[in-house]
Amino acid sequence: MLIYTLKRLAEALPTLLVVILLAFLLTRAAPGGPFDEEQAMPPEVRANLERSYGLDAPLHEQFLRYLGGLLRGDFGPSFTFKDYSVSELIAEGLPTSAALGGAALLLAVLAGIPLGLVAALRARGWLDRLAMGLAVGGIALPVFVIGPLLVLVFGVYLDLVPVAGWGEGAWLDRILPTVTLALPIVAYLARLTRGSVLEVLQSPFVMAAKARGVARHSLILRHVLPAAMVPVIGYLGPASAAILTGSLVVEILFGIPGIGRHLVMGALNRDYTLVMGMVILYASSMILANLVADLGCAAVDPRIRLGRRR
Amino acid sequence: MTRDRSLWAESVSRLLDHSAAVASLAILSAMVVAAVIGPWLSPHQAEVLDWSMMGAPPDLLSGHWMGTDRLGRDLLVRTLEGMRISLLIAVAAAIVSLVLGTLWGAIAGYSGGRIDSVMMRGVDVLFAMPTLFFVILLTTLFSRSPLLLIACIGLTGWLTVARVVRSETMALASREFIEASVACGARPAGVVFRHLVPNLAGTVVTYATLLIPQMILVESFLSFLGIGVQEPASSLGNLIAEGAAELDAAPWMLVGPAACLVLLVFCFNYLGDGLRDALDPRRRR
Repeated sequence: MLIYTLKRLAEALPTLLVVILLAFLLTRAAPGGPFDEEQAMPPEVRANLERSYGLDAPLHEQFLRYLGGLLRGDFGPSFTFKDYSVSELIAEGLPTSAALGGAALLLAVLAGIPLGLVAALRARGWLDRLAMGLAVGGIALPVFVIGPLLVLVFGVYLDLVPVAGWGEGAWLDRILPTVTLALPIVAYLARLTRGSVLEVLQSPFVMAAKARGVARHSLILRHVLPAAMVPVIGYLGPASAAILTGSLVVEILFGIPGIGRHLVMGALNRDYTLVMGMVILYASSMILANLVADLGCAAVDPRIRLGRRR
Repeated sequence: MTRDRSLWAESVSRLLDHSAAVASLAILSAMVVAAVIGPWLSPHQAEVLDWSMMGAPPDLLSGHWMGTDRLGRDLLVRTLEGMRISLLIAVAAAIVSLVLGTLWGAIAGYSGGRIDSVMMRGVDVLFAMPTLFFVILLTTLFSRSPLLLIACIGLTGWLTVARVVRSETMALASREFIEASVACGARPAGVVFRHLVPNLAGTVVTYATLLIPQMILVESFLSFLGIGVQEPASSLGNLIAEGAAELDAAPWMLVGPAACLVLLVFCFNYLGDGLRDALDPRRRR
C-alpha cells in the first residue's frame, strides 16, 4: 500500500508541473498585458512597472522565480487588485468556497449512496423509480439550469429561502447553493451505486455467503456494500471536479464571496498572476481529489494493489 | 431468396424497435428544423426592439409566444437562434473531437508497441488535466473568435474517443480481412484509412450523438459565465444567464431557453443509447 501510494504521488507530481508550466506559458503568450489601459503610458513608466513586477526578466527566469514562490506558498502580487497579493485573495475566499464545496460533497454522499442502495435492494419499487428518474434528470440538468430553477421555485414562488447572498454564512442562505451544487452528483452517485450493488448481488461470493446462512443485514453491510463501493469511491475524484467547476456557476449565481469569481474575472482583466494562481489551485485540488479517490479504491479493493495498471 | 439481411438493415430495424430513440430522433429533427427555418418564418427579428412590449410575458395575441426580454426582443426568435448557434458549435466541436480522437486512437491502436504506449501515455496525462480550466483560460486570454471556441470545446472531448477507438482498432487489427490486406501489400496508412476507419464508423456515429450533448453543455457553461458566445448573438447558455438575472420579474426568460437545452440534451442522450444498442454487434438480442 505504501509503495502504491508513493508511486501514485510520483505520477501526480509531473502532471502538476505540466499544469503550472502550461498555465504560465498561456498567460505569457496571450496578446495584451495587464498594463494596457485606455491611456497610453510613457514607455519609462511602463518599463519601471514591468521591472517592479519582474516582467522584464527572461521567460525561464520568470518561471523559476514563480515556481520558487509557489513552494513558499507565494502566488505573487495581483495585477488588478492593487495592494492585494494573490495569496491574500485566495485566503480571503477559500474558506467560503471550501465550506460550500465540502458541504455539497457531504450532502451528495449522504443522499446519493443510500438512495442507490435502497433502489437496488428494492429494484422496480417506487423508490427505485424515484431514484432513477432523478438520475436521468441529473444528466441533462446542468448546475446553471438547476440553480435558477430551484431559486424560482423555493425562493420566488414559495418564498422559503433567500434567493441569493451568503450573509456571513447563515445556514438558511446556504441551503440552495449547497443543494444546487450537490444535486447532479447525488443523481450520478445514486445511479452508480444502484448498478454496482446489483452487479455485486449477482456475484459468486455473495451467493456463497447467502448459502452459508449469513443474515440479510450483515450480508448487505459487510459483504455487498464494501465491494460495491469500489466504482463509487473512484467516482469521487470526478465528483470533486464537478463540484469545483459547478462552484464557479453557483458562486456567481448566488453572489457568494468565494474564489470562483476570481478565475473568470481575473482572466477577463488579464490578471496573469491571479488567473495562474486560480488555475493551479483548481488543478491541484482536482489532481489531489483523484489521487485520494484512487487510494480509497485501493484500500477497499485488494485486487488494485496487487495488479498492475489496467 | 434467403432472408439474409445486410448489417445496416438489421441495425436500422433494431433502432426502430427502440421507441425512446425514435421519439428522440423525431423531436430532435423538429427542433433542428425549427432552429434553422423558424427565425426566418417568424414576423419578429432577433435584434429588433419592440418598444411597446418590453419584458412582456408570453402571449399568443401579441405574437410574442414566449414573451420578450428586457429590451423588447422576441424570445421565441432569440431562443431559436440561440439553439441554432449552440447546435452549430456543438456539432462542429464534436467533429473536431471525433476526427482527432479517431485518428489518434486508430494510429495508436494499429501501430502498437512503443508508438502506442507513448501516444496513450499522452492521453493519460491529458486526462488528469482539468481541461475545462484551460478552456476558460484560452477563450478569455485570446481573441473571442467562434473558431477558437469550437476548437477549445472540441479539445475537451477527444480523449475518450481516442481510448475507445484504440481498443476497437486493436480488436479489428487481428481480424482476417486486415491480415489479408497486409498480405496483399497494403501500406500501413492505407490499412488505417481504407480498412480500419470505415469499420469504426458505427462506434464513431454512436460517440458523435453522445458527444454533441456534452459539447452543448460545455458551450452553454462557458456562455453562461460570459466567456462563450458574445452578445448580440445568443446561445442557450447566455439566454439562460440573462433569464437567471431576471428571475423574479420575468421567469419566462429562464424557463423557455432552459427547457430547450434540457430537451436537446435528453434527446441526444436517448438517441445515442439507442444507436449504441443498434450498432454494437455484441449487444445483439
